[in-house]
Amino acid sequence: MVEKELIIELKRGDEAAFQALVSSRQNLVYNTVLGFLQNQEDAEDVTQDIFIKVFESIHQFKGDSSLTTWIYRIAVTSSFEFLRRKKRKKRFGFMSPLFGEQNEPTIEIADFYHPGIALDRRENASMLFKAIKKLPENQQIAFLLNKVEGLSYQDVSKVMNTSLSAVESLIHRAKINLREILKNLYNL
Amino acid sequence: MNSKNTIEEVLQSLDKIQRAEPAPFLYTRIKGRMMRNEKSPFNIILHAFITPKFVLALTCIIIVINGYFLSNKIKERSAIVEKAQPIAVEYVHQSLNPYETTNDSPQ
Repeated sequence: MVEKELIIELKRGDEAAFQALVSSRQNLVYNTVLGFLQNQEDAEDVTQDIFIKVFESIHQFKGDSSLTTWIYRIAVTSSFEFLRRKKRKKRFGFMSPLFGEQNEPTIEIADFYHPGIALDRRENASMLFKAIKKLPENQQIAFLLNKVEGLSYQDVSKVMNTSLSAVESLIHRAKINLREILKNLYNL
Repeated sequence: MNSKNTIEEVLQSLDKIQRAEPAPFLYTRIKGRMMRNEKSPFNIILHAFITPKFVLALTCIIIVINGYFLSNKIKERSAIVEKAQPIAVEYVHQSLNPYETTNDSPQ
């Protein structure tokens, strides 16, 4: 289905169009979210939320950017919203025993192994993901969209709604910061 | 291996990354979640009513009703007091207080 038709059908609330959207963009959304959250269960959850959000707010899509760019933006925003919520929950975690809310584990899984990485690079990639988490938000976005999602600098600039030079600078600074963080992590 | 090489190797570890895929039947799970999230008529009504405007209006109405009943109660009480005043005066005059010496008492 052509993107324009797909958008029209989605705006009509057509289920087949929604199914087509999910099957064509599920890897894109999941992979992006997984890069930010570094947890497969959370990424599954947030991916589902993103598609529901897309379906419910498709009438707000004005067509200024491509549908894929718009979905990327929602994925990035939703991922950081989720992380902030999780952080808040963790901060007030000491109160949960008072209210009997003990279902969710508050301890974060230490190492993240991305399923798309070859076995011989797993340890290094895990260390890199740990370092990426320490970067400022906009550097994380630019670096992950480029490295994990494989978007060009041009596409990253569209998703981030910024200039090409700004993206270049963000990725450059991200690399410098990552080197420093890795030095500390390895005690070099 | 020197430290610079180690860091460069780590930085290049994402170079040939493959896209991760979600668990199968994502669409079915999304549909399931959407159905769970669908609001029942009761919830729709509830959500329509629980708005700041509605809560404010309800609070004002409760305050007005309370004020009305309170003023009625005060009026009622003052009417009773007014009615009871002469009786009370009479009663006080007739009552015998052993600690009170009045002119009427026998000497």
